[in-house]
Amino acid sequence: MIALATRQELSDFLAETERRAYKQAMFAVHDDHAALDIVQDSMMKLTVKYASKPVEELPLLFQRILQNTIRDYYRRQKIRSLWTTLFSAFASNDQNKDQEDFNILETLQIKQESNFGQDPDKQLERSQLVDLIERSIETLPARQREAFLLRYWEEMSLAETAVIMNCSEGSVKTHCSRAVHALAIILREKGVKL
Amino acid sequence: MNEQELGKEVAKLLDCSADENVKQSTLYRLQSARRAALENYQPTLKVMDSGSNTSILGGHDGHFNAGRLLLLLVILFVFASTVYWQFLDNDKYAAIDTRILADDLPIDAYIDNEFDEWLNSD
Repeated sequence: MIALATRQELSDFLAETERRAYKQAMFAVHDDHAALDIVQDSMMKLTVKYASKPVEELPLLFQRILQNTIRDYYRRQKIRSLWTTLFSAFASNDQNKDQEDFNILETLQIKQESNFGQDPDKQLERSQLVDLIERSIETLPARQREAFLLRYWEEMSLAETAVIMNCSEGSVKTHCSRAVHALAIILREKGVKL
Repeated sequence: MNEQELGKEVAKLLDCSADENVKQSTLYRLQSARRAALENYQPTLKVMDSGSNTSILGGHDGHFNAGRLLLLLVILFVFASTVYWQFLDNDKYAAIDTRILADDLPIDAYIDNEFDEWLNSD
């Protein structure tokens, strides 16, 4: 007997996943509207095409759809930037942010928000740390970031991550290891100790 | 701190960030995106009778059947057109044959391109 996902289960799953999915898309595309579009597209594809799947399969399916939608976005951006480069000498380089040499740490800003009931120093320190980590993750190459987030944030197994990324488990290990080392170097350079 | 520990620490901070640092307007948009997606929720399974008091599960295959039907119609149309044109060609040559046998070939047949074509058709 196959236990299929009910509407409520699907809704709960999406509600639990949507923020992380949005953040993942933001790390990848650096654009609020594009990230929201990607998450919406992914949700739509999941409910339209995979509503009849068991609830346990939803995380893997959703991550696969999300990563494919992000890759589609990259492809479209690449084509668009190619045409822009061909037809305009004044094209901006904003769309090449995903390249490895882009250092978003240089744009780091301290958040001005404060929460009541907590030590403001600690609050600020943590807020800065979170900002630093988010921006460090944005600087990672796309495949390393994808592997890192799937393995450690989404807690996918090696095999699941390999399926989502369409590569071998060995490649996943390599990408993860490089991502963690790159993050460790950035944090060390900034004098952060976790 | 080893690789696993660092990864998990970073993941914890990312969780905090996802819980606290997403703007309210973004949360509303995510919520409405979720609702829009759920409006398309239609469990696609249906029960099909497979005989002997058993049943099997299957999905909607209407689009697939429609596509196959369309393809079949196109193939039939192409086949019928080919047969029709071949029949017309044969009919044209048969008419010239009959007129020659009856010694009833009009004079303008000799200046007609189709007559040369007929002569070369052997």
